[in-house]
Amino acid sequence: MQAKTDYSRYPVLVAEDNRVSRLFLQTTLSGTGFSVVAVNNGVEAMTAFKDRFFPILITDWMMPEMDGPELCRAIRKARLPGYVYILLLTARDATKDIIAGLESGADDFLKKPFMQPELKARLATGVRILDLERNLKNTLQDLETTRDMLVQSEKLAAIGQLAAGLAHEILNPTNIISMRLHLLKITEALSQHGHDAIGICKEQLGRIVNITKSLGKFSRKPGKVIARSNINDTITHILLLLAPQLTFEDVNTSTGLSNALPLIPLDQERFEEVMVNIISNAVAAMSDSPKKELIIETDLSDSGDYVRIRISDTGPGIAKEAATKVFDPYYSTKPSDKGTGLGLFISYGLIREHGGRLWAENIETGGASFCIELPVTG
Amino acid sequence: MEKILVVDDEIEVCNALKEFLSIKGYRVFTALNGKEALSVIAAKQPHVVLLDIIMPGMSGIETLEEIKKIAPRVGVVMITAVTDETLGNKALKLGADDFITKPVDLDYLETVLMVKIVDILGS
Repeated sequence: MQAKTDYSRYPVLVAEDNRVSRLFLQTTLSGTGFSVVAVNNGVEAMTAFKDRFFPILITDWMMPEMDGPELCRAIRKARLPGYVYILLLTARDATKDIIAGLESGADDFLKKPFMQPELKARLATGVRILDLERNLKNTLQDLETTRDMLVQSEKLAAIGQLAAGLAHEILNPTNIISMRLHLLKITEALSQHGHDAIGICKEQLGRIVNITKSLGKFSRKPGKVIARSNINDTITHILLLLAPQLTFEDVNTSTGLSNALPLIPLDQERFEEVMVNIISNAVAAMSDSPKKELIIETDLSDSGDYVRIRISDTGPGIAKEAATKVFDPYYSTKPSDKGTGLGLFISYGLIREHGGRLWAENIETGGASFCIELPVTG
Repeated sequence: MEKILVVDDEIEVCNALKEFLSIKGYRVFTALNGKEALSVIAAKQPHVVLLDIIMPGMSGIETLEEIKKIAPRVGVVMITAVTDETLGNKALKLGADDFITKPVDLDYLETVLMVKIVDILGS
């Protein structure tokens, strides 16, 4: 036998004009574990649906104002957040009545007068179908999330590859220009104006080189210093480094670091870069928030395969349209003099290089979290 | 006069480095690929080779390995784009003396060469 089913997750709406029958239904259903709301007719039932959703509807056929089949049709037409399993109560049992009832959108019939066991058995069928619907919905949602992450990761991998190739191609001519400028300076008798111009050119070349270096970082090979490290120590170290900036910005920092973490293979320098990027973003996001709190937590995944780091802020959260873009290169919500638009893009690449994952989510109570998962075995 | 061989598949890189190093008093040879570099080394016996890592055909790393076979005492300084520092490290393991990243800072290059040549002539 199946384990005792929890019926309370499927609230039932009863639409029945007969007071005795309504009371009988209410008592039976409450006794079985359902949460029940009862109304007198179809119109009241539709009003009840405006307030909240009922996955199960038990409706009488004959009712004033709006009868059972009319209610069925109205429910099927309405835009509701899920499927409503409809049980139609009727004294009619002629084949043509049954067909008319089913065609109006009912899922099942219960002939009046009915006994408790039959009512329960028919509702159990409904619950089975609703369970299937719920599973299907969850699976679909998981699939959509996975698909979004795959698209994101493939897109970024492709951009990263392109960026690294481009970086190399840009550096070669930059190198030649840079050397030629130097030669001009030492071989020609230049006016002050000429010297100044060369200085400006060199400065601007510096900009090209810096941006190119950043781009190249996205897909560079794993670094040379991969040591087994305690991630908590690294985080504590980073917070110490950033303490002056955090104090200056009035940000309260708190940590919840698990003391049950295994040592994990880590390129310290690159991990620090990722953390600094994410924390700087969090601080910038909170610049207009009344409450500025930065929370850093670590723990071990249930399977024990991943160490997880969660960096949360109390900023405005990530706008829906930005959710899939925050890791894209040159996507920045900061003014252009504040950010390069490459920080999260590079961080994503660095974490991926470690065999880990980086993603962002909004916190229900406000703010955003960036989550990192790093494998315990490299 | 100390002799330097510049190896790069881009002629403009060879020209610029040749001009600079000539001004600084070196005798400079150039080669556009690994194969040509090996024959110049055999014929002219430079003190130091400036070797680009990414080249079509024989790569800088392969060229380095061949140089170490025919002239183990020659100094080799690799020139690499900043984005492939791992290759630079690999070159150090294979016997290169140093690596410089692009864009090459010519003053820095001069210092590296001076130190290297003092090493070579001193030993």
